[in-house]
Amino acid sequence: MLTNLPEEIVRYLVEELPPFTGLLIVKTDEEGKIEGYYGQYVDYFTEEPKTGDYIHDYSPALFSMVPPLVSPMVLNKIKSQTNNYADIHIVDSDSDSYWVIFMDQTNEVEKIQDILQKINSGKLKAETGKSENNSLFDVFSYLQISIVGDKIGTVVGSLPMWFRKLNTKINESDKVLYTELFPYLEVFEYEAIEFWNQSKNGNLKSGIWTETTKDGSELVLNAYAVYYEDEKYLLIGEVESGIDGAQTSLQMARDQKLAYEKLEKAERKLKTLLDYKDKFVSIVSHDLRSPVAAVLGIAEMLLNDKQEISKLNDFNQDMLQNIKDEMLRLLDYNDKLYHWSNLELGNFEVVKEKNNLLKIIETAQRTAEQKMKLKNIRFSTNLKDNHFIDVDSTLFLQVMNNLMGNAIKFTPENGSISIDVNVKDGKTLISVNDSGIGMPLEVSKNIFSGFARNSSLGTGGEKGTGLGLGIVKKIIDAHNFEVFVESEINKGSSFIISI
Amino acid sequence: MIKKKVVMLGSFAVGKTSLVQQFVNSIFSEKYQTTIGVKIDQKNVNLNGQEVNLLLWDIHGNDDYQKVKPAYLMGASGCFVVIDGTRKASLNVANELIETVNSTVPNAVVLILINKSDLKDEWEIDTFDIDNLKSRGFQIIETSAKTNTGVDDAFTTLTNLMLS
Ligand SMILES: Nc1nc2c(ncn2[C@@H]2O[C@H](COP(=O)(O)OP(=O)(O)OP(=O)(O)O)[C@@H](O)[C@H]2O)c(=O)[nH]1
Ligand SMILES: [Mg+2]
Repeated sequence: MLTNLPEEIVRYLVEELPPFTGLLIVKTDEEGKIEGYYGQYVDYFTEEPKTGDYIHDYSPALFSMVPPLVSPMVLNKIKSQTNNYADIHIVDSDSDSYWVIFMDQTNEVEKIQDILQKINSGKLKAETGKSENNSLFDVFSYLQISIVGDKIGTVVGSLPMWFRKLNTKINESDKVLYTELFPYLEVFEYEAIEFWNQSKNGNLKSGIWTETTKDGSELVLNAYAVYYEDEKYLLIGEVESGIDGAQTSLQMARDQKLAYEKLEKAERKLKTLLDYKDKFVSIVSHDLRSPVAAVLGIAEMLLNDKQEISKLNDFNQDMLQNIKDEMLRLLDYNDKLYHWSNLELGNFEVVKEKNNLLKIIETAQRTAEQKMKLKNIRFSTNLKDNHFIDVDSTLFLQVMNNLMGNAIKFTPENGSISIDVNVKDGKTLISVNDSGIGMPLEVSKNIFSGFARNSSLGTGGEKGTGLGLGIVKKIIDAHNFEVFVESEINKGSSFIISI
Repeated sequence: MIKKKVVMLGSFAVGKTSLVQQFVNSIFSEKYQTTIGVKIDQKNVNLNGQEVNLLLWDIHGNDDYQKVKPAYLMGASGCFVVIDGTRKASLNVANELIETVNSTVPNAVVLILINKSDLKDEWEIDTFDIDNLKSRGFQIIETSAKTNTGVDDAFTTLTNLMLS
């Protein structure tokens, strides 16, 4: 049994079909192979439809058209295994599923034709005076109004059970202002008059409406304008089955939509909060930069002043050096925070231009030279010639600097780092490889999320922010490129950018 | 007695049925039961000694599943366009419906209700939206069908507008 119907099917049901009677919906694939069903199968099938069976084994009328099912398609008044008549609607949904919808037709149309016949024979009998016409209508659940003038009709036949539950004084054979009795009919009347004036045998269905009974429960009604042998009638009846089906599927769909709207709202709220956080970080890191840079400047000035520095003992000289190193680190961290929060806020623009990759690599190498020297790391690249790529030069250089910095951090002394460039299937692959300590899968999976590595220490005890790779990922995403990592413990890591 | 047709319009689940039920029967239900067709309720209101019979047409919500038929509006003297203060999307639907009203029953009085005022903390409709509606000449009343706030005021105001 299916519990969820896709949106298109609910819409189809509500727009095309109500009021539903005896609704059965079977979900199949293109070939007609059953995937599930919704509603009462007993009206049409002698056995419960089994997943994997073919729909035409249950409804032979479909045999001629499978496979594949044709959609949209309506087959009218098809006799079913249980001898009921059904309209069969075939609809397909976005998800490549087919929906075979069975609607009971044994009732509606035939009932009305039946009524018309009885009205007619009743009239005949009334005319010949052989019978009271009232008794003829007892079996019917329709309130029958014979139209005699503008908005005025006479109740013919007996009052149906449902009508007696309403708070009204109308009796059999009474004249009624039907639009007063059921204000809803004011709207239907426009169409009904047009229909009656065509003077053609047939009937026209109204929409459905609800009335409240004396005991406070609800009645769902609909009406038919009928023209038959020069007479105009209004038949009003209770919509019994089917309305529940429509109610349920519509309720389900709207409940779902409400829940979805709530989720979206929560998401919007969260986004605002995150933006606040990023703005806060952006402002603080921006304002922190000057004082930090000032302290760093003073420390550097002192360290560079040979005369002054010689006045300090070794211990204090070391302390001063420490102040400078830590301030440098703080400044770097601060800059990264500033940068990262602005990337998060989307406060940047990617201006792609033709840039020489060779130049970019050389610049990145130069920037990293000092640090590589400290750990005696060898650097190489396989790129010997000019190679042009469409990137934002400032942002992309930042990516390369971050990847180089990361590689140095996790490569032990006397190790090596290389940047290799390969062209494959029209894509340029740039990989930054190191002979470092590598990382386990759990780490590499989340490596680009920013703050990811819990800022683990580098091989030389280097402290990190964990923000560097987050920045890399954001910039690469903004270029519509891809970046991924391949790593093996104690062998090293490769960060690969695919352009 | 004067008879006036009033139509409740708005997106689904904004509280059209709840407002009518609170006004007519003084009841409120937390449970959401979507309206399928049309439900018509009546209530007499006494305005300055004048008795007016209001025919309240509670119509199903307007969305992709069920579209409000312009025929429902015929003969209406007044329309409530209901917005759910907690759902921004219901404002867009309200604007669409105002268009429908203007083209179908241009002489009908329109009163905008922003419902669920008991949930002000969760409102997404802000003063900017409200000022925008006001600048377009609409009268707006904030209501809560749940706490019965502004409900009588809404119906009395609309009746007054319809009579004048
Ligand atoms: N908190 C709060 N909830 C409300 C208020 N008005 C309605 N609701 C709730 O909102 C939901 C929808 O209310 P309905 O009155 O059924 O809405 P509707 O506009 O008639 O919906 P449709 O018939 O589907 O178009 C229900 O769960 C109500 O309990 C209100 O003023 N405050
Ligand atoms: Mg409703």
